Amino acid sequence: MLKSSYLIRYSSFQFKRSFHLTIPSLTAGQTQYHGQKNSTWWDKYDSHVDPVQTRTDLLNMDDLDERHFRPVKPVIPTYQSFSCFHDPIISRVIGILLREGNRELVEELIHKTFRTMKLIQIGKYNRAKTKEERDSIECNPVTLLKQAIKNATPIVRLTRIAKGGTLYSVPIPISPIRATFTAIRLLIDSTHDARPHDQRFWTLFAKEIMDAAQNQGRTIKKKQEIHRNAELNRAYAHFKWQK
Amino acid sequence: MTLISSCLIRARLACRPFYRFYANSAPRTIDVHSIPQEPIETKAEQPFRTSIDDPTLHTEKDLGLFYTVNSDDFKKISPFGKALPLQFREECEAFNETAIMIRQPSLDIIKLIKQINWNLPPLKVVLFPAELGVGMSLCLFHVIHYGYRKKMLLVNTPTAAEVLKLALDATPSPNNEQMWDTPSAASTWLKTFAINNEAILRETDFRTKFTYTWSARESTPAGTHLLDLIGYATDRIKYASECVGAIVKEVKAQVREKNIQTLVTFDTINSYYGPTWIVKPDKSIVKPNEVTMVKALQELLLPDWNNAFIVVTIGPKGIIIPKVREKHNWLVRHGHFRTEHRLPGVLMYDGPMTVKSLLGTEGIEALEPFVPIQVEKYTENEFNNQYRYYIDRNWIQNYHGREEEGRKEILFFTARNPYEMAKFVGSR
Repeated sequence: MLKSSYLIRYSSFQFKRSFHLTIPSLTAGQTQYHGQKNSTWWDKYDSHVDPVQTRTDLLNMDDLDERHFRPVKPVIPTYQSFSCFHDPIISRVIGILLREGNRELVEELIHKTFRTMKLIQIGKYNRAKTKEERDSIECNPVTLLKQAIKNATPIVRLTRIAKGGTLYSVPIPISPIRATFTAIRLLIDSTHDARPHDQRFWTLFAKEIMDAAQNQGRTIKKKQEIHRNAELNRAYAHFKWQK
Repeated sequence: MTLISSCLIRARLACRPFYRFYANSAPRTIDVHSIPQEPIETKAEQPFRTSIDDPTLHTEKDLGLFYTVNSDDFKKISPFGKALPLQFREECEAFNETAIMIRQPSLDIIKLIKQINWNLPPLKVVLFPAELGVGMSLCLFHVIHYGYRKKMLLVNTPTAAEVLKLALDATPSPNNEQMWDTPSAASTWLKTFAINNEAILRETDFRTKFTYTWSARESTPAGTHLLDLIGYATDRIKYASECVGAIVKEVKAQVREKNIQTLVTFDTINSYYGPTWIVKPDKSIVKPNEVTMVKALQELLLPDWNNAFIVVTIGPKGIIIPKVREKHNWLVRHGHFRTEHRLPGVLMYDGPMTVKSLLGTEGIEALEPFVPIQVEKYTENEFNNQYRYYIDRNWIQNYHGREEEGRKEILFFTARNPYEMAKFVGSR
């Protein structure tokens, strides 16, 4: 049951015709926009060109650039930013953690996660005696996060294909976008499972990321389980192309 | 970025009337290359630290520089780690040192302490912030460190508001029905006092002048050493809050004749002139002066003694909002609280940062006369020093942050506010 269906409280006996409006997945994709058949609201951006996205882009732009005389797509501040601290992978994690559009909360969670990681790693770094010891410590939280996502990324996924009246789990290649999504999802899920429960989210998430960056921990186990299941169902792999 | 934009761009229809709203915008563009770029100057490296770790030797020349607090001193001054804010302490632990910036307000107070006539009633200095998170507690710590090095008697209440928030700690006083004891908070205060002043109390042989009767059987005769008295009270925790009053009484009585200079400090004293979280059985709120320990400590602020110097801070942290049903009425009367904060039940003080609105009429009447000193946010120089200190301690990990561009962005986002800066830089 979707959470949003609780937003408007009906008595359970009467069933309104506008029930579909309470479920976002049914309202988001409209089939008509401005009277055009088979179009949605984002199709108005077909005629628009991409906005300037980096500072170097802006500096290298000449007078004959298309953006001077064509409509330009809007800049989405959370995904396209001029900030030098902006990183797309972080906004991806924020987007996946996001609940009910409460972006401020999630940004705070991510910032506290990074701070926790830095407190641990830089504490080690500043207490280290020798130079080799220092060089072995990775302090940058973004690098750690990227490494963790890289380690947690699966290379196959399982899909279900019906054949001869039975459902088979069939291993198929995974697209890079979906692989990244799965990796972040695994990280977040293993954080939700983590103990002790009285700890803050950012503490557990930081630990989980730092574990995964070293190829250890529950996240990596989950990834290996995906791989193991794929291995078990290897015999059905040809169902992908043989019907 | 790519994910979302690819979602947006997904083309369905080829033929469509183009919108040409921006068609005339071409002549308005300017050649970006023609704008003169400021070359980044490589200045000669100014120092951002001083090697002088003794606050008695700090002068105006060291303004905006960091000095490292000796770890032995730090343990003596704040044995329970209450003297500095938690976030700052965490960072200090990661930096493997406690470094504090030398700033104008603390230097001013130290200057005042040097000039003061000790025969007059104690001078009160009230530190108040220009905005949220400008580093009042750190300024106060600098002053306390000066007092410690100068071998002054430290009567230090690091978090004054905390006592009034520990509702579970409060018990009705056995002697006085009107009063409320806070045993564990009081024993912490006593231990802090003992650890801060152990050397001085031993050196001057500080003994009690009066006899204290705790109950029908237990009493402490006059002539007991103050440390023994504190040891007794921390063992018999029931009498700890009464013992705070005894310590205050002894200090006020004997500081003159023993010729010990006393430094009395309170962090967030405005909590003493508002409501508390302690609730009586009949659901009415206990006032701060009905708490034994607070009432005793408030006597330090009276002008009936000398050989002392009082530094207090007032800030939004010290403003306590009542927890029970009076809360609603209280919020109506004090309009400047953000009720639609993200966390349910958490309210942030959002009003003006002036002495009047922070301290209230009651507090001003109790403290007057006093010298208000405003703690302001960083100056340009202080900001640069803080930025370089963070880089030195490896705290700014993003390589953009170490470059000029990143420095400008940090400056833009934080507007030279220390707390904002710590928050912003904390995750970069």
